[in-house]
Amino acid sequence: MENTRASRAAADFVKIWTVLVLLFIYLPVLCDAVTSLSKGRYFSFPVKNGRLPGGRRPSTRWK
Amino acid sequence: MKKIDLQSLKQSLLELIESKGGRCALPVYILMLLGFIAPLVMVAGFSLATPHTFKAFQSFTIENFTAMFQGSVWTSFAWSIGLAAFTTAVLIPICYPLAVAMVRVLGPKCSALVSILFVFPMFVSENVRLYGWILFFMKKGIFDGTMQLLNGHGPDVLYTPGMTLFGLIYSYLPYMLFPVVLGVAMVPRDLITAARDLGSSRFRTWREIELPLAMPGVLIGMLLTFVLSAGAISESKIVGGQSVMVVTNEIDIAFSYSQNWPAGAALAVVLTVIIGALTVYAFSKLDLDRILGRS
Repeated sequence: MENTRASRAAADFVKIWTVLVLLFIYLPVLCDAVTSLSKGRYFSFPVKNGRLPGGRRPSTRWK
Repeated sequence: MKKIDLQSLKQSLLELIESKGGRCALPVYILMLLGFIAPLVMVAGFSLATPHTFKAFQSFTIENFTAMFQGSVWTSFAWSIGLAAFTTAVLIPICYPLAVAMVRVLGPKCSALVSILFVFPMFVSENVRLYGWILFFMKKGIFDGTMQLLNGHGPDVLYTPGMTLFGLIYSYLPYMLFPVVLGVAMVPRDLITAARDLGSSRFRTWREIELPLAMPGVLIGMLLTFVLSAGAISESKIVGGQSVMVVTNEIDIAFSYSQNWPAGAALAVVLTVIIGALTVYAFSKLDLDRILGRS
């Protein structure tokens, strides 16, 4: 019983670890994507007056 | 280490050239000679040329090598080797649990998906991904901006030696991961189950059975990561802001701003020799046939 619980905890740990490392790998690519919405010459976050491709404004949560 | 028998090597080469397959592969040999060996010969030739000249094989001097250790270039070598060693040491504990997850915990479909997810960012240029970290860590960047929304501010970490290390760890993670996955996959599950049934603790099973059997994969990962990190330049330039000069920066400067190709070539030769010696030593300790499942 104790053994099974330890195995499950170890399995959960490596699953969470995998997700965290994947986030770490993708974070800079996501940063590039967020920056591409910025209209200004100098980037600042949160993005102000951002535009999506085609000139559409992104949702108000970026303001 | 196996002794190399020159007579049998010569015989094998002759057989290779005389065989139909060998003749068909001739264009590949020529391409290898032109694309791989020739640049190395040129670099070696330039390293022996008179400083600030642009002609190889016309003058011979070891001045470039002696000058290298009179200045502060050795500190660049130390930084390169130190950062590469540290990157390798940090990546092992990061990648080992990932490899265990991919081989044992996640199912085959999920494991394949995770593998693709790890490979996919490598299709994006390394420089673009490193600039992504600049956007994340810079003042009013994504991290700092988010912290300001929470009435705080982000740490000032950009353009430091630590950030160079961070960039190296980020860039070379997949190069450590996949060989370690290969190593962990080589460990028979039955052995682990048998050890556990015989009363071995989880840690002892890992230390005495799993780790030694997975070691060839781990060693290949270490070698690959170390060699690539020692020759890396983008991390030190982009996220490290050249806060420390690694040897590749020195080579870059010698070939560009200083216009001293022989000095740059001498640095490249020394770096190649160090890395080459390390690779030969590592391969003498590895049984590649076993790793590749040929024995």
